[in-house]
Amino acid sequence: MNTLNEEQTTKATSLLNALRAELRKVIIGQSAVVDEVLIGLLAEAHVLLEGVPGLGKTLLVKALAKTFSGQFARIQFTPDLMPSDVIGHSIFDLASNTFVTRRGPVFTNLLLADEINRAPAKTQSALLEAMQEYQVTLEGTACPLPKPFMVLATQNPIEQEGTYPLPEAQLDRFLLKIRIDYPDAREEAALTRSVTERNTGADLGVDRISTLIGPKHVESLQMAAALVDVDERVLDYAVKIVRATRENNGFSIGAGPRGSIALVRAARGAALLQGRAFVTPDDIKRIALPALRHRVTISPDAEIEGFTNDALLTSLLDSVPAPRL
Amino acid sequence: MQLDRIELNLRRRHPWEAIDLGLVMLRQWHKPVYLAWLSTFIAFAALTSAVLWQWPMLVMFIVWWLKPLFDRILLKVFAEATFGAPPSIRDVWRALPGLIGHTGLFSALTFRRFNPHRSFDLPIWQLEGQRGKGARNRRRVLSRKTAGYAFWLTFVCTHFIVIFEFGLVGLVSFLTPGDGIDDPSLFGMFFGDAELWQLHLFNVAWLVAETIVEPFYIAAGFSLYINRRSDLEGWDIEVAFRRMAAQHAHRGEFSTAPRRAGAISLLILACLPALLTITLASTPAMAQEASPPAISASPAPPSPQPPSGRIKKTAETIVADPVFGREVEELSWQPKKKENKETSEAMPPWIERLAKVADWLAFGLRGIVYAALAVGAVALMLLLYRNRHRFVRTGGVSNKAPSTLFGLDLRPDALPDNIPAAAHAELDAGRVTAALSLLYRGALVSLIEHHGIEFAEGDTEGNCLSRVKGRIAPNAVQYFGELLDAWTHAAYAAEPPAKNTASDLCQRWATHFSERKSAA
Repeated sequence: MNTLNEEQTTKATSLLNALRAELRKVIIGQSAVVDEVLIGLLAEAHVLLEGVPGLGKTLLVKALAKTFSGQFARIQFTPDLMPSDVIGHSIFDLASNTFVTRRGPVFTNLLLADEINRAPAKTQSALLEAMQEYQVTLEGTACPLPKPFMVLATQNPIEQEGTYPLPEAQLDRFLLKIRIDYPDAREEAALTRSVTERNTGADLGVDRISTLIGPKHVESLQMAAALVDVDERVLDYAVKIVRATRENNGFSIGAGPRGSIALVRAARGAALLQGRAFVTPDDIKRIALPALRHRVTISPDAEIEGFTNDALLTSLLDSVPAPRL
Repeated sequence: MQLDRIELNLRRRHPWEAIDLGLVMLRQWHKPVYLAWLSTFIAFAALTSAVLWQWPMLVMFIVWWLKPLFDRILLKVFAEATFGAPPSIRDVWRALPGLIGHTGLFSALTFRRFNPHRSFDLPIWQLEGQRGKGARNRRRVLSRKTAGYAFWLTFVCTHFIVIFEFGLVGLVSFLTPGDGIDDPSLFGMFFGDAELWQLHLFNVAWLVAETIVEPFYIAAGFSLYINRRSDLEGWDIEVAFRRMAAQHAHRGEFSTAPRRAGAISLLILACLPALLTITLASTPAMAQEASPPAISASPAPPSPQPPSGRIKKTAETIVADPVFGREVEELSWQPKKKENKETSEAMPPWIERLAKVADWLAFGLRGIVYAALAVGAVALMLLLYRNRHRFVRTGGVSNKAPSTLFGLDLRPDALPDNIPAAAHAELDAGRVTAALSLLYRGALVSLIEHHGIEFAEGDTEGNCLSRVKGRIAPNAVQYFGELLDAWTHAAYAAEPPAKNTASDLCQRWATHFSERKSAA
């Protein structure tokens, strides 16, 4: 099977639409964020969610885990979290007189790494190694992680006291950095009504989510996304965008080749989500901000001038010529 | 003011940012600045030290007291470099008599020696040539929002000089063989038992500290001053208008319409000072205080700095011009309040009531008229904004489309005269993608030429569609969407539409888009 036929595309898209609709039962508004998380899932990659507290980052991940009958684990990152708390460890069992390996919470399908920047670098590294290799070495034995495996890490951009910002090389491991913004007034009103009406406490209603698919279906969807066709000109366009970040004066460090790879992988998922079996320049452009914003470093001059990564990337996207006839 | 020659990027800046600009200025023109500084200040300090070798403290005091003179030299270098012509050492020495005689040096060395805004006030004295009441008024206007920053600049720079000086002395002290940190030999001057060489070392450390900090202090004061004037007088706007006028003038070489646009810009540019003058004239304080220096402050490089008297004379001539506002004494008869009261008391009550009603009526009507005017003005602006593309088209700007736009070849010979017929011919030849490409290109050219829609270099198909929405008829938008959908399938998925679908697109093309004007 080299390309997707129409029937497969329709099937995959309808499944994705069903997932999307299910997630939107509890995530009011934030449709772009929901789509980007699904793109991350389709690309079999990890995403970093950034937003101030109270925007539903954790809720989104919980809801996503509920939609498929996979395993879900959550790690609340704290300054005293050790690598063994994430990946597991061996302890001596007095009864059997042997070392017993206890697997950590990383052995799951969907892992929520809450406030990842609160743990020190060594703990972050342990998780990021698992993210890259899809396996964990415990007592010299390589243990593969279950499939599908996806890490959804969250971080809070405002509280920087006592945090350990992820280094650029580690940020690069995330396919997308999704920025969650405040909902608009109408969405916020609908959200408040949904949570407070006929509801005790502050339950956000994850129970309302039904399980639609299993891990095998997720793998099929990921395979379908991998088969989405990318035309040579569209691929060139993605590479041109990434290369432009290296030549732009506003960035002191541009995106590496992994940026081009991420852009095309994410665009495949975006195309499938739109019900297409081929990628268009629009898909590349749509996904460029989340795929590249954490791979570039803004220059101090541009920062002083009040520019942000997103603003510079947006103007760069307007200036890179799109494929023409 | 030759603003088109200014080397700085003028824009609205916070005063702290303006101070930061001073550092950038020093970095940019460090060579002429330090050459001027070393050839005057350091030379003078060395000479004084040689003459008064036995009294190093006196040397330090004299040089320190005369610092405002050397500040003037630094400001001259910065001011002329700002307009693209930094002076040479020879120019500086030649200008020295003028700087001593016509820049208010006497007051700066006497009762203004401890002025906490020294570097910020210096341009008013030196570049604008203002004196007495004029200078005071000018200073009041300029320092209204900046005085605090100028004070802190002086405060911080003074401390930095002391820190650098003692740091250097401390460094030498720590590296001198002896009892180390407890050795008070170099700080002995405070106890009156320092040796002569140690006092000279102190002077050298102080000179080094001054050399590091003083040029920055003057540059930052000058950049604060420039920023404040740019704020008050809209220099950045003027520069932008000049640039627009230059661009339009440049385009005018190729077509007549842009020449017209350039002429409009120039007209606006020409009217701007008049408009500003009207605004300023309505506020006499601003007119008198802000306008004259706008012309006289030009350092006018590379010619030697004009004597302050001439600047003053020019400023007075400009202020005397009625356009810049004048003091007019008007005498008119006013009824006394008491008499007024008596008259009103004399009125019958029904007339008083009637007058009151008329007053209220007038007040209400006035309010309605003002509100209607405001609503009308907003509506007019909204209408103009919504239909701006019509004006662009009637103005003839888009009658002649550029030859290439965002990678598409839009020259008349690049597209056939009859696009649907040519597309049909491609279809008949079995080249569906080529036919769609032709329709797409033709549609874009028509949108640019006839609807004045602008597309950016990086616009994708989706962006093109969203730009078109609301600018053309809904059914044309729908057709354009269908065309783009067919095109993306053909171009990026190698799935061209069925021949009859493509043929239908060819037939409907002419309903929504017209041919090129040149071809028609």
